[in-house]
Amino acid sequence: MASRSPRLRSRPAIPVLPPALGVLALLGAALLVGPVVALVLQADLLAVPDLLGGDRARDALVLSLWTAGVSTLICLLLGVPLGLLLGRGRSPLLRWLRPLVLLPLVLPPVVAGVALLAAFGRAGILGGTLELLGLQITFTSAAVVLAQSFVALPFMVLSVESAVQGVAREYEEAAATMGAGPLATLWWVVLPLIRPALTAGVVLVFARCLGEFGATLAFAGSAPGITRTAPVQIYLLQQSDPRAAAALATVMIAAALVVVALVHGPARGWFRPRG
Amino acid sequence: MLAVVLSVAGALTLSGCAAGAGDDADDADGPVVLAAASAEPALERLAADPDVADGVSAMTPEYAGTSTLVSQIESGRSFDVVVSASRRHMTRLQDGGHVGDGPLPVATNRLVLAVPAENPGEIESFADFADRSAELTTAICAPQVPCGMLAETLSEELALDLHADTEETSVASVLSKVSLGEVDAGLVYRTDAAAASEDVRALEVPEHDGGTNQMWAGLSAAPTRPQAAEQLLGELASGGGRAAFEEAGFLPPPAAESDDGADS
Repeated sequence: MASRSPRLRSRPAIPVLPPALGVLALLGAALLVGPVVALVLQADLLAVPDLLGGDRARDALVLSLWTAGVSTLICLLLGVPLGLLLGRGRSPLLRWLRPLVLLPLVLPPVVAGVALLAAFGRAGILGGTLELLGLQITFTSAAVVLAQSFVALPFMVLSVESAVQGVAREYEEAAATMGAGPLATLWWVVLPLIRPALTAGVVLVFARCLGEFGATLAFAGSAPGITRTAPVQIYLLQQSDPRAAAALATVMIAAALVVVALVHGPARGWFRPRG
Repeated sequence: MLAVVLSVAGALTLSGCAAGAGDDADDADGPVVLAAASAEPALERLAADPDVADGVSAMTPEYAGTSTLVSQIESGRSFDVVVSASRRHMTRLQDGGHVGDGPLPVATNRLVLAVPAENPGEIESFADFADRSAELTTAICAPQVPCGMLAETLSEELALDLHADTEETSVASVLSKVSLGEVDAGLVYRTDAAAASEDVRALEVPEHDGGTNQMWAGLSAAPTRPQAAEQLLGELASGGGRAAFEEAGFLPPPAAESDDGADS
């Protein structure tokens, strides 16, 4: 027992929190945990295997998983350079760019969907050009990926930006002195140093993509197997078969829980730099 | 900073999974009406009519997709009068004990094929659409919502594959896809097309069995303002209400005795 240690016993007993705030903290935890627990309790868990055997729910889950995977790769490919630019760049223009880049974080997802329609929709700004090229984005799985990438990219950018600001430039200067080019320095020095942030970013981006709903519905539509992701399917089921909706939602919660636990749970030490 | 973002991310992940039930209406004086979105033009006309009783003009309506309203009511939302876009959903509310005896048909609605005003698919008639449906971009309602039930029936009765590119969660979102020109055509209620006549053209759908939805109004089993609610239901099912619905483009309801749920 830690309290038997003489060093600890000599400390004055200061509570972690003033008792009144402790009550508020518990209330906050209850508000966050309660509804999710209630949903799982209400769901017919025995029906989950049957439900996942059904075409509609399985198609929706499969679609959600692969589109979220592709979107995560896109966010990695675009978000890391953008995060490095924002974290390391000195141009005053970046001060204007940052809020714009982070805007999708605070936009209602439906607004994001409408904005994507305005850009890539058939009647949108790029719509005519895309049509000439024989490309249609709306109502295809590409639209789902685009919607997910749009809302999730800022998470990757923020993760990388704040991590790279904590990396001392001396490491890179040392690498450069030893003859490493900028790309080699980035690959062998900077990226390993920010690996925990990269991992956390990937996990969060994937989770955000998996949960995307509003932008997908407004921009991509809802066609089974093509654009109807698991959250959209849950919304539809909720109106016709609430128990099935709760079962599918339970699967989503399980997926989200795995993801959040990876970053914040007992195993989060894995994501910290070693040594 | 990152910690804040991480917690936000967790919240957002889960937020997609829950369709929230609404709050109870505020303490306005009039009866609380939960009405199918397609009833809005008719109810607004009725409320503005100077000849109706005070209780009717004071109603506080809220509009949403019928399926959304049904799931809200089943989750315990209180109301005085509910207006459903289909007989089937009203029956479900009655069976669940949420609506008392004696719901009444108030109007009839049917689908039309709406095409954007600029008509990118160059669709001249429903037959034209039927011939080329595979190559056209089309939006319909999902089968879970009343307008989607009608679209499904239409597809079966006319033996026509609609080749829908998207099955939307409400007739309003089908209509917006059409108005924006994102699709070549969409199946919406004739009243919705009429209300958006600047942006869309309506093409008549051939007559077929089960091609209409009856709009039904019913009293809550536990109304908070029973008198005003009954007054409103009476008004909806009689002269003033009939006129308001017809001005909004609805067809008259079937004779009240045909209680057979012909809209499925």
